Amino acid sequence: MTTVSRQCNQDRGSARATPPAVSGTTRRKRRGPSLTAHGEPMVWLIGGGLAICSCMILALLALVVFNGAATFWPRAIVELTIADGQVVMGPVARGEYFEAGAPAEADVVDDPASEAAPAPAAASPAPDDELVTEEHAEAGVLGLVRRDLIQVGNRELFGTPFQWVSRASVESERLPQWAIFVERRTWGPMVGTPAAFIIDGEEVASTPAEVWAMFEQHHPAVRQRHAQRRVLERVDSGGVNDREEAARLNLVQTRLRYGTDSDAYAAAMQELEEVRAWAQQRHAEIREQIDLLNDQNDRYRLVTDTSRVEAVEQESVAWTQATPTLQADLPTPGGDFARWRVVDGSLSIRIEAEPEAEDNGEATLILAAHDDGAGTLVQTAGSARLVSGVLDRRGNRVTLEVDADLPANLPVLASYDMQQQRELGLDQIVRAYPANQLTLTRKAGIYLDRWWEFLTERPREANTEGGVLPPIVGTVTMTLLMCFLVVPFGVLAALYLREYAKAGPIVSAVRIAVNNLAGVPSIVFGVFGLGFFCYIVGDFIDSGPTHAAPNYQWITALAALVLVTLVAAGATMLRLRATDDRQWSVRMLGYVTTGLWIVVAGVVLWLVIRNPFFGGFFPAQAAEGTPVFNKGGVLWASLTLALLTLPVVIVATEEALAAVPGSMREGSYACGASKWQTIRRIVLPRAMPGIMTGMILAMARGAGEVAPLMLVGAVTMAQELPVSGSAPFLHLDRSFMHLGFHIYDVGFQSPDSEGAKPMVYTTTLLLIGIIAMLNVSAFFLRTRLRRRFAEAQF
Amino acid sequence: MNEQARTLTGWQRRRQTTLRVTIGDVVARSLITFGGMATILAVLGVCLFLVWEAAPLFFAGESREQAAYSQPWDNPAPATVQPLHLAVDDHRTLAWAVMPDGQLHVFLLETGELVHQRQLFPAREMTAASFGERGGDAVFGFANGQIQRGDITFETQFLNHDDVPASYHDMAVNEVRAYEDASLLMTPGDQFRLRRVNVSLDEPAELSEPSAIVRLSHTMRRSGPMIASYTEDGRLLLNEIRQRRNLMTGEVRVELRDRELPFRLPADRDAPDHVHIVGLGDNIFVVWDDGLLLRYDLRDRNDPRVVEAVDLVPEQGERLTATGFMLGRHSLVTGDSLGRTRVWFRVPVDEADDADVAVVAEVEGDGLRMVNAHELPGPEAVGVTDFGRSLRSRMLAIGYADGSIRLYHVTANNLVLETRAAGDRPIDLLTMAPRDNGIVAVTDQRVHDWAISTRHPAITARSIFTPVWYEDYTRRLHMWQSSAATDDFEPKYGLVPLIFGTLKATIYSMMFGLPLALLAAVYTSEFLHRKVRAKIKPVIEMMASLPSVVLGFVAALVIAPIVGRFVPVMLLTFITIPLTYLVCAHLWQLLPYRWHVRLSEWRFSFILASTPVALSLALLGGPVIEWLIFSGDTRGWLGGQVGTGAPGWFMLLLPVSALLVALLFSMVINPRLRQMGEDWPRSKLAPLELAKFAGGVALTVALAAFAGLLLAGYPWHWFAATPPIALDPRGSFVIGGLDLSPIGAYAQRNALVVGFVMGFAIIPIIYTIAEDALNAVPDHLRSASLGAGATPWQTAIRLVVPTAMSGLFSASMIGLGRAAGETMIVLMAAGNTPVLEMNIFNGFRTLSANIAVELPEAAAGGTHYRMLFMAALVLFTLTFIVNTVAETVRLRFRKRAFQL
Repeated sequence: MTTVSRQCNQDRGSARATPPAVSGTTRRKRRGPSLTAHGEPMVWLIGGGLAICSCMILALLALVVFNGAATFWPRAIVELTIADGQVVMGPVARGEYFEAGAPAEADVVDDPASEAAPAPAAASPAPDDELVTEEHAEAGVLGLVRRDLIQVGNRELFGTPFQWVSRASVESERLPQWAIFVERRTWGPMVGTPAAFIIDGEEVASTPAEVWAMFEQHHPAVRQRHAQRRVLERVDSGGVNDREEAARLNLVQTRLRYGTDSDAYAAAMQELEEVRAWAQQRHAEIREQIDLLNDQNDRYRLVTDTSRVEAVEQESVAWTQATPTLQADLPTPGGDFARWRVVDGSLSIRIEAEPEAEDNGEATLILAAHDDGAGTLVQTAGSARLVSGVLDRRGNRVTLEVDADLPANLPVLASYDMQQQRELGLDQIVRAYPANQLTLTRKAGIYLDRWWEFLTERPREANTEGGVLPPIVGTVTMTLLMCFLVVPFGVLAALYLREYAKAGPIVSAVRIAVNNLAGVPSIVFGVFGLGFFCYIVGDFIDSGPTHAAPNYQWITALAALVLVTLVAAGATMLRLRATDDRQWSVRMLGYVTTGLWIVVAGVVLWLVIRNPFFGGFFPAQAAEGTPVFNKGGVLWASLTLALLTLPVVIVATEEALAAVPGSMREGSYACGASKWQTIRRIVLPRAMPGIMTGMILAMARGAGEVAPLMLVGAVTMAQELPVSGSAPFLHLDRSFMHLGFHIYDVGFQSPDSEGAKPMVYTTTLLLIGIIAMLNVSAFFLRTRLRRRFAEAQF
Repeated sequence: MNEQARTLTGWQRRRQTTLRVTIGDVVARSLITFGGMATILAVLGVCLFLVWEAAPLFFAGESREQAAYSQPWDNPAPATVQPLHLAVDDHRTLAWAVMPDGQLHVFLLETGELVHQRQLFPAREMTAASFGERGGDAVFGFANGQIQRGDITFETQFLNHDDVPASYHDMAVNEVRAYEDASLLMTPGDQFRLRRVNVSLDEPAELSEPSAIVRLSHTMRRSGPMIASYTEDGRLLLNEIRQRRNLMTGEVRVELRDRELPFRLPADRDAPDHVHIVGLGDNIFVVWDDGLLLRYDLRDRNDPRVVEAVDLVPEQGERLTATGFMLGRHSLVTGDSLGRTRVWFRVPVDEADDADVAVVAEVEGDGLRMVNAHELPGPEAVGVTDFGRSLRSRMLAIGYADGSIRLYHVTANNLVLETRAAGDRPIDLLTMAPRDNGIVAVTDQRVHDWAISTRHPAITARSIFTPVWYEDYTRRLHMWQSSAATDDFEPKYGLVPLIFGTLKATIYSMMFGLPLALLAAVYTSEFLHRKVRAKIKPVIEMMASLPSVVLGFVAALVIAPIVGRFVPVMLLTFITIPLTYLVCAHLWQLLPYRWHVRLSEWRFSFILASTPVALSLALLGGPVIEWLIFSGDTRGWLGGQVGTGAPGWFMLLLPVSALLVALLFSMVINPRLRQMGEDWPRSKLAPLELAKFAGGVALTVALAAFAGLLLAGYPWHWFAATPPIALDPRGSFVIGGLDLSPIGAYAQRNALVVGFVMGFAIIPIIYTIAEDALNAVPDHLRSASLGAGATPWQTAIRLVVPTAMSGLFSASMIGLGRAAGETMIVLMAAGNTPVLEMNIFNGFRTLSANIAVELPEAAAGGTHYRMLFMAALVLFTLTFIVNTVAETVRLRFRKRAFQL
């Protein structure tokens, strides 16, 4: 500042020193302000601030929009043959350039998936490095090598559905005509070529084209039957379960209230028996229908060739224990020497190099071990003979039994073969397409179909696939509930502050406080919500007051309440009769009336929270340890967010009220309208767009908040939606899923962050879209409101 | 007077308001008033509720005397003999006491009714005993040189109605009565809980050289008890008892191994008054009442030796009056005749603070020393008589010679409660109930029983805001560590690391976001074309409602890896971007004036276009810089593995030297230049300016480089062998556990990333409010300034910005409040480690993220739960203060703006 002002002083000094201009063009030219006075560099710096802000924001939006929108577009499947003979097939998820010198470091850091199981290509560093350096020579100036992240799918085979392939190590690349991309209900996507189509155990087609034709013919019906099954399971079966549970809870409640040897208990017991019998019968019926559908669906099976013929590798592993049982600890995350794969219901072992192992013995073994852990020896050679091999289910430890004395640290050479086929029930397939034969319209169709699935389906596979219907429903329900709660109270408060309260230090202090609360961190509201709503109010609703007053005290208080209410009502009547507000007695009467009503409110509150006759609405659930309201739920979340957004509504409404010209109010009064009439007929309608703006802004803020929801009811996976077809339709007590929390959960807590990223981007896009839509509508409402006032001005 | 005459028509309207309207008015009025007030109160209630939940943390404990009765063991024993040990069961119904003669008394705690009594060792004379912490394990020493291990435990049995004689059927719920040799309690579930004391004694074992055992102390290890004993013939022994069970016969054989420690009785002393072995069995303390402590190190079993001699009571004439251990037998507790209670534990010598330790004799140590970590004051000049340690926390009940009792939480140095036994007799024996819910005291007349409620003893205002000396730490520390995998872990609730993290997040994000937002606001309001402004402003405003979870996701999964890969590039952008703008501006000046005027409408497009240039410059220059000044390994350099501190100083001093050079130019060179170039045309001045700028840049770099080398201690080599200053910005500024070094080891989730992404959250807010404030400056002021001949730049900087200053300030404060409370971004991108490091490349943990992470797991009503409410309250207060200041300033500014 000082430098600048000094500079300007100098400027002014010099300006004063120059003689005033008389005439002549040359003179005028020189009199243009001096170069420093323009402060051009400083202006550029300031402009730079704006430029950076704009760039940041645009880049962020572009990132989200691009990634979010591109996720569902079907991509071509490439088949890459790598130098070591390995074949990798799948769509390219993304690519990046990396410095050839440090191939593995950059991406592994934040990527648990790739850390957990390094891609086979990168797994054997020796040949890869060589190729990378080769490429390095070709790569030119920057020394950067491109590598692609291939979505190889087939998670049950490869452990990780993604694999980095360095372009440097690719020997050939082609787009196989019949490569299909299969989205499955479990185990993520699958990439392969159609090999056969089976109906009732009979192979009816064997060339890809025929198989594909059969698939397209039968799949829609299967998919439809699957949908029917889901409805049966969820709606019908769920309804039966609900009824059974209600009867059971009724029994528990009766027991708690009347004891076990009462008539009511016996009646409830009998009812439960009846309901159970009914439910059993109903379940059997539903089961039958489901079985029928399943049987029909099970007829169709698709066989896919997921062949990735891999060269036989001859590498060694050091066993850690000597005979008779050899044991090897298989890969720790990031380790590089072994891997199990499922082949046709059995497991084959692939053992890669342990660099330090010395090559001082020879044994080739191929082991096929079954899913249940039993292993069968397929082939051995060399000096060791294997009797059996056992591996644990997590595939990180193998125990092999041999019948010969072997030295410890015997290096074992392993070979493996990856030729295989997968048979898949059509029922398991959500969608499949031959990625490299799609026309643009087909692609667009798949794209839209995927969006539709995204918006209308429930999540699968730990939220990383499927749709986000529950989060959408949760977000919308919560936001709307919040809206219903916040708007009336916000408007009341604003009306009070703007129309009724007399301006003074208290009101301006309150206004400051309210404005301030808009800046209080949302997590603080979450803490409040958890502590107050969930734990205190929730407990009260579930199981009644913890410290109930003695009966006589409560009844006395009730009587006192009646008395005080009568007195207060009387005082109010008196106060209404009085006309002259200036008399001190009238004013005193006013104070007394207010005081009395406050006492009434206090007593009512006391009567409620110490009510000895109230035992809670859900004592049975509370006794069983399955609280209903004494935990996070959609009601508490909405209430918490309502508190959070209350300042937004109050401030917006106040502004809207203030914007109604005083002249209109005065006009109304002059016509003889009362204050309330004026507010209701004149002020509120004019302020309505402003109030709507506030409401929408509050919704936008509420929909985007996550931190408080983590404490008061958002969950990562909710079995049931807060809105359902069974009474009471809106389940206020249920936990819910939320788009924002979904982003946090999937993007951050998911074990496979690479696989989850597309889902996170689309969810983000959806959330941003919703919020932007709300904001834009608020913006337009505001503009309309302004225009309207311009007209309404007297 | 004559109303009728006034109306034109002569028809008088009824002016009485209808009742319906009046009632509607009143109802609306009261409803709105009530609803409005209630709403506002509800919002304020948030604050009150936080206080309500957090306040119990600071409530003092309470005690209530349940019973006092004369000693149950009075009859057989003379009144002066006091029990060695007294234990209470965890429901506080039954107690047992062992007398020095080996008598065991079992009595009801409530009434003192004796239910059982036996002599444990009928034929032998017991001379020493040691009792364990929880399990009821005990070791006894005898005059004949025998050592015997035993368990005295409480045994619980549930009885039904029919199992009990009819005379007990009238018992009320929770009533306790004696039943045979046990206590019987009626439970609410219509059952009887029978509790009796069970004694099981192993076979005695004899020392290899039998001699009466005078002092005894034991600790239970997995292999069996380890015992330190002192015999009458002046030997200090380490004994281990092993049980061998014969698998065939089931017979148990007890084996005693003893090893003599190198102990020589100091010349002028009697037998040591206390011998203690620590919980892990690796140290033995031998203590005399005048305060001398000899510490034996047993870690090398074959070479146990004295490693330390300490005077625990340096004051002349004062004596130790009681010694004992805290829970876990790690910290030694000593009480002296001055009424002080001190807690000692071992810390490494080189890291120990200068606690008042008086080393008596220099011995070859084991690298550890005893320090007096806590001192708990007692009543004036009244000696300490006994301790009762808590069996589940770091609490200690202290009995004094005047009959008063104090309950302290040792780590927090918190006097939880204070009470007094009637009669003012010295407290001879003090025991805490296992659940910390009672204290039993024995005086020479009576037994007293208090029910206590300690609430949250570990929390005081001091313990959460000042450093605390936790057991086994080398010094006082600020720590937040609320849970751990192990059971005997002491939770640490220091809020300072979290507050520090919050401030760190705020500072770095404000350092990045504030200048950008303010500059952007000034440019938008003063230089941007009206049409462009109408487009840009809503876009930036809309960013304000971008969900922070999105930002957090982008920060953690997109930006953090990129920043991690391109650290030098990132650092370089801070230089290239402003530099590029300045260079472009000077090039712009080279344009003829006519062009300048015509193009100035498009200036922002040019600025925008030059931004990618700056970025690509940084991208290209990054590797060069890395190779040039960071020894080719930026992360290694940051971690301090390679290179010196000079590049760090260079980077940090660059802005400072740029400022100095700018100052120099504006004060010295610019006036000269202006005088000189008064008559020069623009075309001549502009190149000169460019040259001046180039010179300035060179000077800046040179200055920063020189200062950096100087601070890092380079040039000093020419003059002296050891440089007087050799500072490294990577971790050489540690003050009291607080690392203020601005740079240091690189972590993937760090403050740089958080600061950058938090910019997205705070820039729109600051920008919007600041821009509104600038816009509110009335146009007539601008017109006057421009009309008087000032350039737009002069108008903006001399007139508009100062006028709107309070608005800008308020905008910054509101941005600050938002940054302090932001949760999701820091939760996802800050790493969440509660460290006290200012290092921009390291993570941190904020109050808000801490709450979000820990609150769902905290048990309602517990200390942890309330501490999190406390954290929320701190956060609330912090932001509330900031926001109130901002709001007040804003209102004042608004008033002033209206006056202009």
